[in-house]
Amino acid sequence: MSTIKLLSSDNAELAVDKEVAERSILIKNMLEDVGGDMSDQAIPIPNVNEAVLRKVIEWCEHHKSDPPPPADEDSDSRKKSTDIEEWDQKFMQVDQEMLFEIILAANYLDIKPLLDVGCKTVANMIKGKSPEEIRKTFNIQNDFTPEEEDQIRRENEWAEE
Amino acid sequence: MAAEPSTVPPLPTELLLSILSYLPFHDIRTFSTCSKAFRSTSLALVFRNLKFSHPASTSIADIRRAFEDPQHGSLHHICGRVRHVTLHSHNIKGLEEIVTYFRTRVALLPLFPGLTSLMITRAGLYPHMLGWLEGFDDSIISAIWRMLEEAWPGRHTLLRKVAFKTLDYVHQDRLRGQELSVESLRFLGWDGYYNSQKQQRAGEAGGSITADGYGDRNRGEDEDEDYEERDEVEETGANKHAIGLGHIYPCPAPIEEAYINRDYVTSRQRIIERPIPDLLYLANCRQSLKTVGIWINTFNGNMTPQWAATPAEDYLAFYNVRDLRINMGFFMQSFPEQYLDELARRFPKVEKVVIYHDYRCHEYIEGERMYRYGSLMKLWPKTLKEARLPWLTYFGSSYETRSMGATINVWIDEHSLNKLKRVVFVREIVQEESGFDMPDELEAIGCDVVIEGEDEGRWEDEVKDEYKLRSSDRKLVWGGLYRIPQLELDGYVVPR
Repeated sequence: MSTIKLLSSDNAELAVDKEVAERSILIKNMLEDVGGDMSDQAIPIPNVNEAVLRKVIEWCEHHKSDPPPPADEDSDSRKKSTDIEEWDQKFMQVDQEMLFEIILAANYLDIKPLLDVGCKTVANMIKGKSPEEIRKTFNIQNDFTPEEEDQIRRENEWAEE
Repeated sequence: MAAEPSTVPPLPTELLLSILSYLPFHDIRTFSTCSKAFRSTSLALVFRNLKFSHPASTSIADIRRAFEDPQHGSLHHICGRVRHVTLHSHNIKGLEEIVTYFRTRVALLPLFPGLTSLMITRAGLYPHMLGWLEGFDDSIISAIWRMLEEAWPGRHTLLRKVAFKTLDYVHQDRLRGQELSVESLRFLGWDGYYNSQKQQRAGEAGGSITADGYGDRNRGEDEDEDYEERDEVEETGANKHAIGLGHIYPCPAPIEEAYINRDYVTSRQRIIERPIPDLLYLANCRQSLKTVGIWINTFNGNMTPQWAATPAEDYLAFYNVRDLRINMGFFMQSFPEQYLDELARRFPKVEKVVIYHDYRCHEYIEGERMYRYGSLMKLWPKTLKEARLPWLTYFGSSYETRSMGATINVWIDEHSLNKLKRVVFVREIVQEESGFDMPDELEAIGCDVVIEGEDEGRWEDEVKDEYKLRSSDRKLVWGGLYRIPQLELDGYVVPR
């Protein structure tokens, strides 16, 4: 099995099985473009630091044998579920900064299943909570004036599912 | 020391929207109230569908200000993103008030150039006491079309889906004995329905539906061109006679889906005319209209309503409607022959028929239902491809499920339903964990037994070979593929 090297934004070189790295559509396309031989040269991943890249590689290792996701997965948004398999749940038990970094890296590297898991994890942090609980979760301030809050309350009366 | 608060999770908008796409509406709405940044990210999702109700704590001026004034709130940014509006009036007391309500709310619609869907619901005005509920609604709807045409000249509107819901059981005696005037409806497009009812419909002044089935108002030059396969269909009364539009103003937009939901209070004296709405206000949408849902409820204990059949020469036929949905209570309760005959004539080329559940579903034993379903299926031997039918068994089922496959065979063979490929029986199952009745479906697709879906294995023992259909090219599939709450139960689902 061939191995390739990835170069993180903070210049760390990480060796990865080609099959694992190709969970990233970005890397897969890149390798195809250069004819598949990158054995002596590290592929720069300028948007992702070493810690995040290691985490992403860990996920790709675990999921290297997953079947490709169905093409029409998003065709029916009503069936979207926030269920996450157990291994992924544990994998995502990281601090928020790392969680958002993983999402950004999955988006950049074009690893849709990982991006989905990341988005679902954040969605579950919002689900069923009050505004105050959500603010606390993400450590954000309520920057509305009382008048603006009143306005929002009235406006939201017009919003229908 | 506490960490410096971040304004928002440090993610680009498209990823935040992707996260929100996993959340139910009420969570997105809550998210939008957390901070300015959250609100601005989620606004277009929260306000995709609007509902203006009466009574409400906000005034029409509040609504206008919020959507028009950049200094006032942030909704003016998302006017172009609004896709659906519901105008709901509940228990408005008096004609003047209801007219004012609709005039002011309809006047808001041009604010939303991307509007594709409109729902009008009205509860609590009681014109049935004068015997013209249907006409009253027609007048309101006509008025809305007229106002919209003025607002959207040249028919440049994206409006494709409409729903009208009327409930006449709220405070039904409030206006009893009062003098009602219809004068005030004139400026809303009302030309005096009360008087026009006394006249012959055919040949009235105003527009008419001509012998080819199209209105002569706003008639486009090449409207007939893609009117496919019309010759195959037997000419009905509607095509042989000119039908007067009378006071009706036809919709200026090419509506593709229309849902009509009417709840009637019935009495011994009352005869409900035209149980299948005549849809004259969609007279110009005969080419575009593909889906029609008709939901009719009657309320007054167990009193059987009296229906007056619509004279054959007095209704419009919609040849391009492929998807027809009706509710079960109405279907089972009405006079089947008259009703079915009219359905087949009004909608002669149905490919998919759906019967909605309603509260009367459990009143009929399975055998009776299957008989009635069969009588519905046979209406469209040349076109019917799919049927979706309720199979609720609240009080247990004595009908052997294998008989269902046999019955489908009978439908197919006796009525030459050669195109019928899919029959879905919608039923409930009891979820043991919650004790809640979670509806499920049995699905039959046109001979090998295949088990699919969430309930894999559930039916296996029962199913084996028993349901094999006779024809070798069809197979019967049972599976829990959908749940009822995801279906369009009341005839309308707001688009997302």
